[in-house]
Amino acid sequence: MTSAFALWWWALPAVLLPIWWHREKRQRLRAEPLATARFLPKAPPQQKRVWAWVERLLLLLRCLLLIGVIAWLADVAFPWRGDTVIVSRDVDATWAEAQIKEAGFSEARRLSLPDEDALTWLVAHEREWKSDARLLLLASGDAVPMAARAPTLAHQLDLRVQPGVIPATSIERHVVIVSERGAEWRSVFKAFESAGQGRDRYVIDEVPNNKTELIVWDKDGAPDSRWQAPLWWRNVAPPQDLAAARALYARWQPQQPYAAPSMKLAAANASPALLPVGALQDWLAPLLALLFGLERLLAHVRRR
Amino acid sequence: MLATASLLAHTADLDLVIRHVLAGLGHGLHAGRERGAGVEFSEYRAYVPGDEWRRVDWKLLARVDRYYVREAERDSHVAIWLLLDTSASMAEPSRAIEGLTKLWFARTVLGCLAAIAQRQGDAFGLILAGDGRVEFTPAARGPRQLHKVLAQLSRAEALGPLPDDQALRASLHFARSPSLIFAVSDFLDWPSPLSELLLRLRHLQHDVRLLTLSTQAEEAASFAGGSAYRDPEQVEGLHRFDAEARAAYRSARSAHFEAVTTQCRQHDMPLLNASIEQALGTVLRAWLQLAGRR
Repeated sequence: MTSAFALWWWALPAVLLPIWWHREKRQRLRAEPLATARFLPKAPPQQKRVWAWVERLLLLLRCLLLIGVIAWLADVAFPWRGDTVIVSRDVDATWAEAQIKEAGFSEARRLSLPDEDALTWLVAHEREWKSDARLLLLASGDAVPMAARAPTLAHQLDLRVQPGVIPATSIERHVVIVSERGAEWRSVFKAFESAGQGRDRYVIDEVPNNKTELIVWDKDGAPDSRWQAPLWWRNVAPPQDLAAARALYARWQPQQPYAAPSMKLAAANASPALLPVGALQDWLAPLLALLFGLERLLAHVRRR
Repeated sequence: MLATASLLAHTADLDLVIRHVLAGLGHGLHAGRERGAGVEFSEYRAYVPGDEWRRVDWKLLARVDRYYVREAERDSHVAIWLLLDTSASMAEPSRAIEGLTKLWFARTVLGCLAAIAQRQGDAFGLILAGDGRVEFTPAARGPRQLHKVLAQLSRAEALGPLPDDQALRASLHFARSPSLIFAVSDFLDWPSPLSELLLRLRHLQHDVRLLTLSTQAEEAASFAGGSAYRDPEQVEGLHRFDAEARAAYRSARSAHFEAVTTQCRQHDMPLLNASIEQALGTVLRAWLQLAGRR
């Protein structure tokens, strides 16, 4: 969810208004002086605006002022959220209720976590919370990836991770084994399956198909040239002990992100004004005041 | 006559034009003309260029080797005031003769009157009313006064609106002694502060004579159609001129000038309507005769 305030940028076409208003008015007809014109009937004034601009300095100031105001509006965010419970999607409802009660957040507003990295989202939107607000983040096992450094938040954050939640569906991984020692390889993959806590299920195929991820070629001779797979293990013997099996598994398995554990983050001393969003505030407000003053001055001078 | 009028209009030298016009006028037109420079001797005055040679005292010249002019005590205390409307509407040009404007015509007529007054030895002064203010030249006699008045007239420009009531009332102080007031205007503004002033002067028993100037195009309503017109004394508002506007224009204009004429008659102010394309001498003669008939 991007900040709703950014929608203010859509107001930029308002700059066209002063540009339109400052177009020069010209008399359509050149009127000749005539002393006895008073005895003639009145003609309606015939003026038209032409594509030339009058009071260009004032126009420039007004455009700048409008752009400044829009930028200020788009950038500003008033903190309006109080104590909040942020709940990730996969969290078990009864566990979540128990945690909320335990943490004393029964009165707090509930907010379901948007479909992205919870901590990154929190950092980006932190200025929406009042300075004394507390946050409780309830997440399932791997919903919150472990960051390299603890995030610096201006608010107190209680992160609680629901333990032992295993995804309901496991992923099928297709492997082709061509070996004299087929039974040994099968038992190795069985061991991998249990090491992955049931997340992966290995399907051993005779012939590679388009789902095949790995071909184990533990045999003399060249394989069929039409066989294709992202990964080949050639001339590798099945591991004989636990350490070798673990090394092989670690080499093959893609890097799984580490999930953050449950933790309590104290409020850091960083003020939300120092955050990247809202950085315009410091100098935009005085600039706007200056522009407004100049604009009023020029408009006043023009009237005299 | 047209060629002459056109030629005259292009002559920058007002003095020359006045000589030309007055030469055509002949002598003895003015009813109140005094004889010579007076009978009762008053004082000697140093000669100034422009003084008539016949008024130089030759005996005194022989005695002191300097030119002196005999000044006479005057019986008449009538001062002549020339009032010229120099508001923006007086810049209206003749659409038949190029270079001829109402202001040029008015200025020349008043210049001629100043010259006549000077020849008669009358005191004369000038009032220019335009651009929202009054320019006042006090009444005096003599050739220097004539030069001053002619210079003022040549400098006059048709600008801005008529002065307001207060400005005109402030200049009323000139009319203490019985005076003869010649006012030239287009009198398109009536009633106006100017008309109020003239009526007030008339009530003070001054002799007020008016000359209303118009152009042939104004009288015949023969303006170019299709163009927009504006009143030179009003910033805003446009006016159109077409076939239906012509009828409205004619009736509005004649109604206006009928009202002006009626009021002048009621207050016994001789009024002459003239168009600036007419011969200057003829208009001047007609104006003087109109006043003389009373």
